[in-house]
Amino acid sequence: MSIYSVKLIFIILLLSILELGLASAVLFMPDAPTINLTEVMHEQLATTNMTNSLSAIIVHFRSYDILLSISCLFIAIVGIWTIFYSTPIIEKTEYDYDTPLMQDFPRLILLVIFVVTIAYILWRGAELAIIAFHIGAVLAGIALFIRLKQATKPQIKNCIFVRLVLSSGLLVFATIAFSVTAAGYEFSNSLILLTELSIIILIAFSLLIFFMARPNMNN
Amino acid sequence: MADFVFLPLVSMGVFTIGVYALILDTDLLRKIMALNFMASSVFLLLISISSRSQPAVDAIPHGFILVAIVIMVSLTALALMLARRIYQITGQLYLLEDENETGEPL
Repeated sequence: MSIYSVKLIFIILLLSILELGLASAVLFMPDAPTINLTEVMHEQLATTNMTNSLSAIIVHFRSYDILLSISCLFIAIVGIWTIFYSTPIIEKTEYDYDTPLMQDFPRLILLVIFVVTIAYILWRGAELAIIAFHIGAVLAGIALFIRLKQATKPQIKNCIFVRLVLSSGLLVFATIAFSVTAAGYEFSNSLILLTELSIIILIAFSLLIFFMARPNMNN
Repeated sequence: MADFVFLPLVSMGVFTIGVYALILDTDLLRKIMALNFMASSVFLLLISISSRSQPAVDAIPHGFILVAIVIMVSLTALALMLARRIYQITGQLYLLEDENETGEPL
């Protein structure tokens, strides 16, 4: 028996101990929590005029969670751009996107599919728990798909317009959140729509930039 | 209720695989994928917890997962960016501590 197999057996043993410990911690979890959040949530559901409980939770009860996760996205963008501009190393890569998917007819079909998806989300979004994240993700997919054909051309520039659009989503959301907290008002429907729009913009742009932001090093 | 025995076991198994790859794999892309594995296993666990409450499905863990997915996406993007910088600077996709005397990955 070599040292390698002893090491392997030791690793497998440690991993199974970890697995058993985690599984026992989950399976013997106490059954009755001290506060039954589900019941409280279902009692308060009537005050929100929303049919879907997940939408009610996300929009009404836990909207500050969304604010913090959105700022997490924003911080990731800031980090990515910082890494980009820290030391400019010019990458000489030739990207070949001339795949069958990029021919004219499949592109047309895919664009139609995207449009149908957006229309379906907008149509059913109110009753299902489909919210800004999904619309933003599909929009980012469409934008990526359009940009992918011109991927070798100069990319998104580090101009003030891009920065404004990127930060506008978080700015609008944070402004609404702080003003609502300070003034003590409830979230009205127009405010909810405004925040959803800002989230959609931020998510679509940030997902696009996660993938596409190769800044133009020649400038 | 039978789901609450099966799904946590599966999710903890996936979590263990993620821990294994995160610690013992030297390749940075595989480390990032292992992080995603672990996150997915936690999502699966939360889903199974939400199906535990009867008769109505508990929607609060679903809300947690929606927040966590966004955070995981941004974390993955940042990690991929860091890995790409490491590749740009050193020309290899593993950390310098992870290579032996001849310059090969462990």
